[in-house]
Amino acid sequence: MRGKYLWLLILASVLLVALACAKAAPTATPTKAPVAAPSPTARPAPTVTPTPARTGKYGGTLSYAFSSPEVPHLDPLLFTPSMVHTVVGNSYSELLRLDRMTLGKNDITITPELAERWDISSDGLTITFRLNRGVKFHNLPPVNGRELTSADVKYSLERAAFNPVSLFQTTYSAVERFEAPDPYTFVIRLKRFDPDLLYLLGAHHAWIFPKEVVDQYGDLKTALVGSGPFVFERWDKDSGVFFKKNPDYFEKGLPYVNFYEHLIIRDASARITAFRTGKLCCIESVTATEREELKRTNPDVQVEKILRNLGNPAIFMRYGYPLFNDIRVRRAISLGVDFDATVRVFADGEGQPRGPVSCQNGPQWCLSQEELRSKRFYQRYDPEEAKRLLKEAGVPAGTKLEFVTAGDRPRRMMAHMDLFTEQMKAIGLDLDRKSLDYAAMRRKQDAGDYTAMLWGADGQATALAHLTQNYMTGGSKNGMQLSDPKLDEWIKRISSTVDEAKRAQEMLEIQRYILENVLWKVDLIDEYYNAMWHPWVKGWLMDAPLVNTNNGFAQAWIDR
Amino acid sequence: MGKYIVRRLFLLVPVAIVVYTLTFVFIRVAPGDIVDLMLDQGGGGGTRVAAEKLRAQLHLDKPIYQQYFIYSWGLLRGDLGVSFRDGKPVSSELARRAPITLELTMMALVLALLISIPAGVVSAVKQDTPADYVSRVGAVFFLSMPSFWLALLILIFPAIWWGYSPPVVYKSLLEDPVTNLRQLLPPAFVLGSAYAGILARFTRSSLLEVLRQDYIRTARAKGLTERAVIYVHAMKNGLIPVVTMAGLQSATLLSGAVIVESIFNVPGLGNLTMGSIFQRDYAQLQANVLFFAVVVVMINLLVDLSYAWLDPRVRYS
Repeated sequence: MRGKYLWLLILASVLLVALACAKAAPTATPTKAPVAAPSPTARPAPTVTPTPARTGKYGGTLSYAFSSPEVPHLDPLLFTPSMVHTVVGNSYSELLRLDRMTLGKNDITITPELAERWDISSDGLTITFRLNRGVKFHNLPPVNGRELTSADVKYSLERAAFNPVSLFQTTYSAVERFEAPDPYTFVIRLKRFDPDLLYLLGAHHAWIFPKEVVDQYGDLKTALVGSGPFVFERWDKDSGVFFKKNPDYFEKGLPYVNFYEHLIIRDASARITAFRTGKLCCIESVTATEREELKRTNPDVQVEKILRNLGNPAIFMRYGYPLFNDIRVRRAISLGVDFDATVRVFADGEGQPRGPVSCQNGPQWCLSQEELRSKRFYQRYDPEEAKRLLKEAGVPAGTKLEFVTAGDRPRRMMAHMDLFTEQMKAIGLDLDRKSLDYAAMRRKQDAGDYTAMLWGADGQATALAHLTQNYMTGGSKNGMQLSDPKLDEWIKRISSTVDEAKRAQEMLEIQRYILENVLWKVDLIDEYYNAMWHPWVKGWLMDAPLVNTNNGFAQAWIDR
Repeated sequence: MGKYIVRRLFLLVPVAIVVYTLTFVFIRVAPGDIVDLMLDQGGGGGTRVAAEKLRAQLHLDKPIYQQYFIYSWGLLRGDLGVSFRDGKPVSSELARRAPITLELTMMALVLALLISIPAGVVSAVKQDTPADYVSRVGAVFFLSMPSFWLALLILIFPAIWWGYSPPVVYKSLLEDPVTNLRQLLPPAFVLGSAYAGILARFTRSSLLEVLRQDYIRTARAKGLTERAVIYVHAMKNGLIPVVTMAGLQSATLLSGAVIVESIFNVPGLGNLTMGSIFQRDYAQLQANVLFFAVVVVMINLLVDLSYAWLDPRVRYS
C-alpha cells in the first residue's frame, strides 16, 4: 500500500514538474537587455563603483553642467534630446532601470526600480509588473507625498504611448493597452513581440509622474513632481535646475548628497574651468584635446571613454531626387569621403567609421571595421573610383549640388562641412551650401524639403530602434524619406525575431544590403565620448549612450 | 528744471517706440522660426497642423503689422507678453533678472571710475613721465581687449595657476554677500576694464585742456597748493566731458553684460537675452531690449542733469 502511494506521489511530482515546465512564465528579475553589448573597443572597468551596502558618505552638494546649453522646458514627453531627460531623471522614477554597472558592457542588466518583479507570458505578449509598495511621490503640491500606484504608471505610460503630444509614441507601437488591475499590479498587453520594450522602459522613455500635475498645469513643462531621488527646488532659466535630497526616497539610504545642481554653462571654456577648479563634480562631452589639457593640471581626474552615436555626421540624399536615383552617384559620394579625415576633424581624432547601425550597442549589431572598409562596400576613400562612377553615370565634372547644413551648430560641424566640400570638389561635385538654423533644418529634414544634407544623424537607444526609425517608411528619423518595401518587410521580420542571435545575424545582413543597394544615407563616423570626474566623487557612472536617465547622482557621494 | 525733466521724460516715449519697433521688425525678419524651434523642442509631433495651430496661438500667422499692433496694444496696457518658452509673463522674469544685471553693471561702473579717474588724473598731472606712459598703455590695452577674450583669460588662468575660479551658482547680495562678490567681481572687472580705459583717456585729455586754462594759472598765482588747484578747480570742469562719456558708455556696459554674464554664468538679463536669442523667444527678447533702451535713456537724462551740479553756469528751462 505504502509503495502504491509512493508511486502515486512520484507520478504526481513528475506531472507537476512537467506542467510547470510547460506553462511557467519566465520570470525576469533581473533580465539581460536584448541589445546591450560591449563596444568594439572595450570600455575600461569603472574605477569607482556604487555599493549596495550604502557605504558612501552623506552630505554635500554635487554640481554638474551638461554640455547642451538649453533646457527648453521640463516635459520629457515633448522632447527627445538628452538635455531635458538628464534633468528630470533626477526627480522621476521608472518601472525598470538599466544597471549602470553594466552599461556599455556585453550584458546590460535590466533591474527593478518601481517594479518589484515582472513576468513575461510564454508568447511574450503580456508583461505583468508587481510594483513596490510604499513608494511615495515627493511631498509637493498637488500630490503632497501620496503613494504611487499602478494607476499612475498606467496614466504616465498612456500619455507617452497614445497622447498625440508625445514624441515617444513609436517606442510603444507594439503596445495594445495598459492595465492596472489593482494598485500594485500593472500589465502591458502587446500586439506583437517587441525585443526593445523592456530596455526602453528602463531608459528615458517611461518616466512615471502623477496625473494631478498634468491636470493642474496642462503639461509638465514647468512642474516636476516625481518619486525619484531628488526633489525639484527651482529652475532658473539659462542658469540651472536645482534639487534637494528626497528624504522619502524608496531606495533606503539614497541619495547620499543633500543637494544636486544641474547647471547650464554655455561657454565650453567656462565649463571646463569650473570642472578644473572643482566647482563641478563631473563633466561630459570633453574632446580629446580638452581631456589632455585637463589631465595636465588635474592628473588624478578619472576618465571614461565610450563610443557613441549622437549627432555624428551623416550624408542624407533625398529619396527620389533624380540625380541620386542612379546608385552609382550615391556610391561615388560615399567613396569620395575620407572617413579617417572626418574622424580627425569632427571627433578630434578619436572615433571610427561606421555603417548603418552604430557600434555603440555592441559589436554583434554592427559590421566590423574590416568588413566596412572592404572592397565590397563604399565606406573607403577612393576618389578615383568615385570619379569613374560619376562619369559612368553621366554626371559632368563641376555639377552643382545643393547641400543644406546647420549654421548655428558647433564649430566642428562647420569645419567638417568645409572638409566635405573639398572632398566632393575633388570628385567633381560643386557643393552649393545652404546654411540654416537648427530648427529650420530639422523641419526641412522631417518634411523632405531638401536635395542633400550633411547633418548629425540622430542616435537611438537600441540598434533595432536605429534601424527601424532610420530605414523604415515613415520612421521618425528617416530624414531621407526612404520608402523601400523590401527593407520595410525585412525590418519587420527582424523586429519579430525572438531569438537574439538570429536577430543579430539578420541585423548584419540587412546592413550589408543597405550599404550595397540602398545608401541614400551615408553614416560617417562614431566618436568616443569622454566623461571625467574628480577623484573625490565616488559612485558616479555616466549614462550609456543615448540612455539619459542621469539618476547616477543618487548613488554618488563626495569623499574629500 | 522740473519742466526740463518732464520734457525729457516725454522724449523717452518716441525713443522707446523706435527701439521697440526696430527690435520687433529685426527679430521677425531674421532667419529662423520660433515655431520650428518650439515644435522641435516642444512636442506636438511637428506636424503641419501643429505648426499652424502654434503659429495662430502666437499670432505669427498674421501679417507683421497686425502682430505689431497686437503687441503694441498689450504694451499700452502694461502687458509685455508671455515667454514663448514657458508661457510665463516676461515681465516677471525681467523683474527677477534686472537687479542682478544692474548690480553687475553698477559694480563695473564703480570699478571703472575707481581705476580710470585716478589713472587719468595722474596721467594728466604727470604728463610725459613713466606714470603717464603706464597709465596710457594700460588704458589702450584694456580699451582694445575684447571683453569675451578678457573674460576667458580671467576665468582660465587663475584656474590653471591657482586652481581658482569664481562660484558658478549665483547667490544674491542679501543671501550670501561673500559668494555674491566673489561671483560678480571678475565679470564686473571685465565689463569695467574697457570702460575704464576710455574714461582714463578722457579724463587725461580733458584735464590737460583745463590745466592750460587762465583760471588755473590764476589759482596757482594766488598761491594755492597744487592739490587744491587740481582737485578743487581743475577737476570739476575737467570732469564734465568725462561724465558725458560715462553716460554714453553705459550702453556698452549693458551690451557687454550679454556676453560676460553668459561666460561667468551670471543669471542676469544678459544671460536671459542670450537664451532668448538662441530660443527665438521674441517676447522676452523684445522686453529685454526695450528695458535696456529705457535704462540707457534714463542714464543719459541723469548725465544731463548732473551738468547743472558740475557747472553752475548750466541752467535748464
